[in-house]
Amino acid sequence: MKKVLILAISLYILTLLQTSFLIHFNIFLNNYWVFNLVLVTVFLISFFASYYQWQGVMAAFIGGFFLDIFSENFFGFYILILVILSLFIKFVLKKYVQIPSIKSKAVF
Amino acid sequence: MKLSPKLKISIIILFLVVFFLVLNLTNSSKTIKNFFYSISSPIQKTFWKAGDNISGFLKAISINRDSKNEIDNLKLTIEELRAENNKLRELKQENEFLRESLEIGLEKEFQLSLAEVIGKDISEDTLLINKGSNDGISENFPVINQRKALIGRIGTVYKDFSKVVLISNKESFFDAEISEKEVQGIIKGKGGNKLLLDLIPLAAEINKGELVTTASLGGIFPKGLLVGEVKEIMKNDIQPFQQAEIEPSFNLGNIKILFIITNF
Repeated sequence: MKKVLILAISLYILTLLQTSFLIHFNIFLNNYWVFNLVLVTVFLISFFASYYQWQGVMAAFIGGFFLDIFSENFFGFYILILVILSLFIKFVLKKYVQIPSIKSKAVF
Repeated sequence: MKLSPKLKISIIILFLVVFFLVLNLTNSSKTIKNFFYSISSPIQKTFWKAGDNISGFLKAISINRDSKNEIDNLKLTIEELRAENNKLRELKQENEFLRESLEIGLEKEFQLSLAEVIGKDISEDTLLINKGSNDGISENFPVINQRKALIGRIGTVYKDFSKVVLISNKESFFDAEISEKEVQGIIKGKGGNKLLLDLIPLAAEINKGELVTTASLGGIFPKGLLVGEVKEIMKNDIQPFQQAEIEPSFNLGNIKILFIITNF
């Protein structure tokens, strides 16, 4: 529960940063695109968290929720995108990427 | 009763779909958004202000850089325009020079070649001009200005350049006359842009300010070219001839363009 709370607060602050602070630095693609901090964070959490753990999908859900709060799209738009992204990353990592762990090295 | 994982996931998805449908189809999404906006606004204001200040600062730097580039470009343009202006001024001078020469009909009287002065050696009373043997220039061709005033003659000729020996050069001498009185004498260069009219008969009466022109006797210069005016008369009963100091009719400092008489 504590982890979820920390994750939620962090993503909330990141969303606020993105919508209130980074919006001033729309330097990408002829000043049209803004750096999506929440998307990148969710991507990184999904990528680095173990695929047996829930942090990736949870981060996607909470991040998407906050992005939806501050966007004009229908509610669930960002949640859908981020959860799908997180699940996709987990699927690719599970199916196609083998990350050698310390344990496996020790056994070898 | 224990639910299978697949069933659990299906129930969660179904719950979420219903939840979002309810949120989107009713006004409850507005209520939720409003709640979050109200608790976020103080933090958002702070972030907004900070972002605005920093982006303003960065924009100022960017504008400054752009201005620098613009200034550099403008400086370049100014240089180009100055060069163009200079060229136009030279053309204007040349144009005025030619117009003046046309007014007195120089081109009908002589075959002329226009030359530009590119160097002066005042100590030796010579000029360097940008016409040489490739332009049909030969030694001893007379050199005049647009008012038909004699400047000198061509000395050394190079392929593309020539030296003009001024009439005030110490080695320069030629026949001249006081045009109104047909009093003849010999002009001798004294150096330093000074001339002396020598061998004037004692009996001849000359006055200050009278014009001296070339005479046809020597054959070096065509008759009637303006040499200068009498500045001072030196008369001595002991000597068989009188002398006069002549002020050249050209100003050495202003000579930029001149004519070479190629045939007369």
